[in-house]
Amino acid sequence: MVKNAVGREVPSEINGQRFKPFAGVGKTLPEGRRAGSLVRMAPRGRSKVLNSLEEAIRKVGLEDGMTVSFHHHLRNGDYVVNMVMETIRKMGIKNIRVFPTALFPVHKPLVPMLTDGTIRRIEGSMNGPLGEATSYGAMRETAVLRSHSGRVRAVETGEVKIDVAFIAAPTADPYGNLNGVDGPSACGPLAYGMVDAYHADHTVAITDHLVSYPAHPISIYQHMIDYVVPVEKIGDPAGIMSGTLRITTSPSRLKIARYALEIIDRVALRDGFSFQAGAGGISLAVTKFLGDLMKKRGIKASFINGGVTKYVVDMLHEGLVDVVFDGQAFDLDAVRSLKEDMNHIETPLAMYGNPHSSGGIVNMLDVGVLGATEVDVDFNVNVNTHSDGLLLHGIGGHQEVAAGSALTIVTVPLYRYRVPVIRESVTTVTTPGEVIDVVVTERGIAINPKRDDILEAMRGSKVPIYDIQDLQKKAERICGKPQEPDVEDEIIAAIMWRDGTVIDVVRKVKKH
Amino acid sequence: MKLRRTRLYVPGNNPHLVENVGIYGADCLILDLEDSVPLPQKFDARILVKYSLQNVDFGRSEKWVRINSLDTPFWEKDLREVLPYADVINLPKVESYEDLERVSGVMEEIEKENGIDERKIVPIIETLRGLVNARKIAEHPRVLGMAWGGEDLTAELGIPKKKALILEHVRAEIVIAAKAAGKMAFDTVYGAIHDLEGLYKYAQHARYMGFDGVGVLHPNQVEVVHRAFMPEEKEIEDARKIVEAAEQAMREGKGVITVNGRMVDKPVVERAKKILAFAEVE
Repeated sequence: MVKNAVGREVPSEINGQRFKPFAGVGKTLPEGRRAGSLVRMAPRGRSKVLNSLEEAIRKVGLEDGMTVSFHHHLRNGDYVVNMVMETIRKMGIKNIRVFPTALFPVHKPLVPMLTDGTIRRIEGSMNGPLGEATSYGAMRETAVLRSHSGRVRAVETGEVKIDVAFIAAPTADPYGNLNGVDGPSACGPLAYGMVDAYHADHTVAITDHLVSYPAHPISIYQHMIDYVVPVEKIGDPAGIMSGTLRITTSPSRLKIARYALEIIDRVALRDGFSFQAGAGGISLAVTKFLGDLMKKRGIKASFINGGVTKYVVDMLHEGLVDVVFDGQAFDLDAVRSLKEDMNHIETPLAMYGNPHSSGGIVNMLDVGVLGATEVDVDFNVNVNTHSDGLLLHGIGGHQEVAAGSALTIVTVPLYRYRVPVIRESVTTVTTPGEVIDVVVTERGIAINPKRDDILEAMRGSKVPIYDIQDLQKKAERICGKPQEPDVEDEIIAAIMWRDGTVIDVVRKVKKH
Repeated sequence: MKLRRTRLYVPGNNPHLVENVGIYGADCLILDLEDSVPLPQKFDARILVKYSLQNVDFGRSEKWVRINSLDTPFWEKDLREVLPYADVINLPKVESYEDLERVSGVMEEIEKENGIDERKIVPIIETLRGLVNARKIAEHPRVLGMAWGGEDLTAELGIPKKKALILEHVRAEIVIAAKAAGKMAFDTVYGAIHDLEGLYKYAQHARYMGFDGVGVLHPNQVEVVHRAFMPEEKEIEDARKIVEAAEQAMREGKGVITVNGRMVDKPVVERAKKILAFAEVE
């Protein structure tokens, strides 16, 4: 174990693989060359369409110990992960490394596969039951969590070798051209699946909407897809799309959004500025209020990077922004806009924010508004674990946006259910304080002392400004001092910084 | 001048709402023991409000408590528990000067026992009899300002509240009674909590009727009312000139104040000061 740059003890070897400790943002430089995938061929006349998943798994030669990958565009409506893993289990293939972009509560059927020998470990975000089961020690090996683009980096550098990528495709043609904007399970972009399609040794598209050749538009191209498996349904639209997301009605959350808006207004709002949008309640409110303010001031943004929702689409169509970059769509308005509007652009995750590339979209961001489960007095942010130590969320794009944006704002309530959110030390460090500029709560804000310029810009504002220690004390005055989570020494998951270094670990939670 | 543009009501029986209510910037908070608290919870609410007043950070908001009315068995116990920690007592269904005398007597006792300053009352006029006596009521030395409610009053007349034309007269009478006695006047709440545009118009109407503030039921209404009470640029500019001229006249020992060559009377100076206070200009 070694101490890293945020003072956490981390291992230098995880699952037999060597990793460096987190050394600070931008301190670990890339090495070597990009990794390649197996060179294959598809002679004229050979059909790619197969009758079943089992046939596909046989054809690609999936064996014990291999790595399979999935994207999470179908979110909590996804049927594909369960379908594929159940087929693998039935075929008696063991010790699989599952490498999803993210898993959701709908993937609970994988929990018994952690103990029956089918899955040896999961490397990816686990939202809900799989994270909880892992926290209590159900997984044989150590889980590894990476950010959206940290995962891309891991694939591109060969840190993770994907044997078979199973790609859920809302629309596919028989020769493997795929998109996400049509079909009964439409999800918008297929951005998360692109890197897997490029770098996996074998690729299988799974679709419930097989159209005649050529499918168009094309998000993932035919030359990267080996097989196409039509199935009855790849997902439940109710879980894929969120319906029209509603802005929070909680007055205290709206207060947080208004404070964030004033910071953006004073620090970054000008013609041609750019910002990151999301789908959380506060984030939606900030987007909506920002749109209203831009309209009032006659300001136009150059681009919004999303997390695309109706609110972002409305801004595009009202002429408040030139371009929307779309890595993930949350509602049908976003899907429709992606299909119809040339200025609504699908962006591969490699372009989103891979730190070891020639530059991601996040490097061009002026403003990012992010959430957290905890923030500490060093501005370190936790988005992975709750204060009881349970691993319940993925990293998402948190690290990318925080590291990339010129102004990174974290919006959190001071406390949740009588547990302080602002604390002495976060349970898990997901994103280091050096890239967090302002923490906004309903009772006031704290500005990172490194950012004199923001402090100066906020002079004369009515937003209450405190030292972060004062916010911590306010939280503790109301809730008392939070208890430390009751954990054992055993490490159940590693949290990676986007450059491939280890920023923290998650330990096994004691069961009572 | 202390601004009381918004009085945010919060049910006294709901700890979750009470703990956060100080963050919304309302000028006054009314911790309510009356209509929003059901009969079986009157005791619990009284205790919760008592301890909240002592322990919760209510920010810059003035702390009011609406106690139960004189026709209930609760009002005196309410007073004994909360008065030492409240800034203002909001008293519903006041009908006469004598009502205030009765409450004032008990308040005096509690103030003496606890060694605290005299607390003010904001009576709520809710009946025709109260309205008839409003001018006298406003003169009571404990009265900080006059408030009103239309429910009982329109019921007495047997007309629907939403269509009651008489309420415009009631509003005027409350303002006249309060202002003639040198007190503040408070308009009632705007019930459609999601209609913020309607609220803005309602609050502006209250301002031009001569009210100092309106009651609000939801935190999202606070900012809208404050905006509605914000004087227009031209008003602020003129007021600034008048106040500066008055200060200059004072410094130079002149009895006559002139702005742009025109003489300005004392009430005009007072109005200008009030406009600047509403504009939150130091």
